[in-house]
Amino acid sequence: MTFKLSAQESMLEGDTLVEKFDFAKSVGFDGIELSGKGDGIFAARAEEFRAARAAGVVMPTAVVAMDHFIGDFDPERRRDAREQMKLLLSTIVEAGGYGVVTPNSYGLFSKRLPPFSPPRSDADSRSVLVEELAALGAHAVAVGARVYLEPLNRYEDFMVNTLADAVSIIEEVGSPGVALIADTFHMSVEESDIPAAIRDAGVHIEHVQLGDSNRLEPGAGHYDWPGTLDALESIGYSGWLAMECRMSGPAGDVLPRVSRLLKR
Amino acid sequence: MVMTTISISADLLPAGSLAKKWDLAHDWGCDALTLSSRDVAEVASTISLLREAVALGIPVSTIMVDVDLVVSLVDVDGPAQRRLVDLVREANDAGIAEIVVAPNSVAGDANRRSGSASTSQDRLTDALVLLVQRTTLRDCRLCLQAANRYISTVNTLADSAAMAAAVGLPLAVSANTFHMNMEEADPAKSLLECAGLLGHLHAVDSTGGVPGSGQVDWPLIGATLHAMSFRGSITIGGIPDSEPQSAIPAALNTLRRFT
Repeated sequence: MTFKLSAQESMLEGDTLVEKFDFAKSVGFDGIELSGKGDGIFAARAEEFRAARAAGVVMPTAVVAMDHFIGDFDPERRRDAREQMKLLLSTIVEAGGYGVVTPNSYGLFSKRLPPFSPPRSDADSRSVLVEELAALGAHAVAVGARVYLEPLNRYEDFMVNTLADAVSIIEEVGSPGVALIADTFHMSVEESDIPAAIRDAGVHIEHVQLGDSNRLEPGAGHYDWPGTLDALESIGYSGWLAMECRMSGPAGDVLPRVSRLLKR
Repeated sequence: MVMTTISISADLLPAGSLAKKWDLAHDWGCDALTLSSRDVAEVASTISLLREAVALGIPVSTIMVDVDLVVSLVDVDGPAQRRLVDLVREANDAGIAEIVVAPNSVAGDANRRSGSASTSQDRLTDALVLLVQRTTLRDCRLCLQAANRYISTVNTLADSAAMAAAVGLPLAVSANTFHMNMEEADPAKSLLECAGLLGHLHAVDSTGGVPGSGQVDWPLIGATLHAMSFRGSITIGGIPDSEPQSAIPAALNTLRRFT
């Protein structure tokens, strides 16, 4: 199986999406993962996305790029995150894509760090996330998109750390508009057996993000890439592998190496 | 085969007296205990436990102290800081092999530590020099442990080795395999590159559990330690994901097979 590779737009050389896509193709990549900035910035790019799509640029997914998320403790920030996510979901469709990645939260609270106990109970946090995802899932279905829930490692999020954590939430939400994204860097910290975790999550996985064990590009750390690719093949995964990491050198040097490593 | 001392953090053993903890650890095959002071409040109790261990003949290979405790030496000359110096002196006198200065990976504070003035490498260097000057270490080695990006500014073994060189004092390196999983591109190569400085290995698996519970390549770690003729000690750390009575002997077996 040959997996499709995408890179974040900021990683790709070129001034326009068309130039970035041409560069992506030249280094063995197949698409662009867009940066989902809030405050209406992403939505304001809809015309740019439509033009790029018409020119053949492939943009399957976007990643939320805000400082607040749907699992926020503050109801107003949570409400804003939900509304911004709805805009991202509507807009990714304009780009010809179908998925937007969001965590429960990023950098809001970690149970591994003082004061250890979040200001909201786990049960309430779960209820909040289920409620928010249900609302976003309904919107995603209405516009023909998917919300991808991303587990982050223990230092970055207080509740959804493993694929199993996310699957439990997604199954409770029960919306066809909500699926799972597996990030290899976070799995390297949180999963005791990564291939088993992938197989257990199975069809819930609709998107994969890439970072080696040290959060550099695949191949720059000691992550077991064959084990992960084999597991993805075993569940019939047909989605994208999207770079979400730092690079150890210029994109023109790094991305061809990643393509050679991951394309079978 | 190079035999190394394998100790276990007393914190991981079921609650009870130090003697009972040691009986259990010894029955499971551990060679020694490791005692830890994670914060100011624990320094006095660690001194008491060390004295009790010495009196009862319980082997203690390693004392671990939190890096922020050491850094506080730079600014504060209060009772708690003087007790920390007392602890290191007593450990030295008791023949403890290593004092490991490590961020408390369970009780770390990323926001406070990451890039903050209180834990800049210059301040840590000053604190280590101060600690060595005040304690006159003999055979006991002071080891600095690197930790992951979320809780420390000293992330790799190379970072620790560079700081050891900067201090200009007999400072060694402690390698924590949980943090290495996140920070070292090639764990075996990193160990080999600091072979002369490596004084202690903190054996924790990739998910923060005891050895064998995650994805750390223990055969590779063991082969590397063997290749470099490692003669320091190993502390079993991490949080057991099952009852200690089954998890810790299994972790010990994992290490014994490869070290």
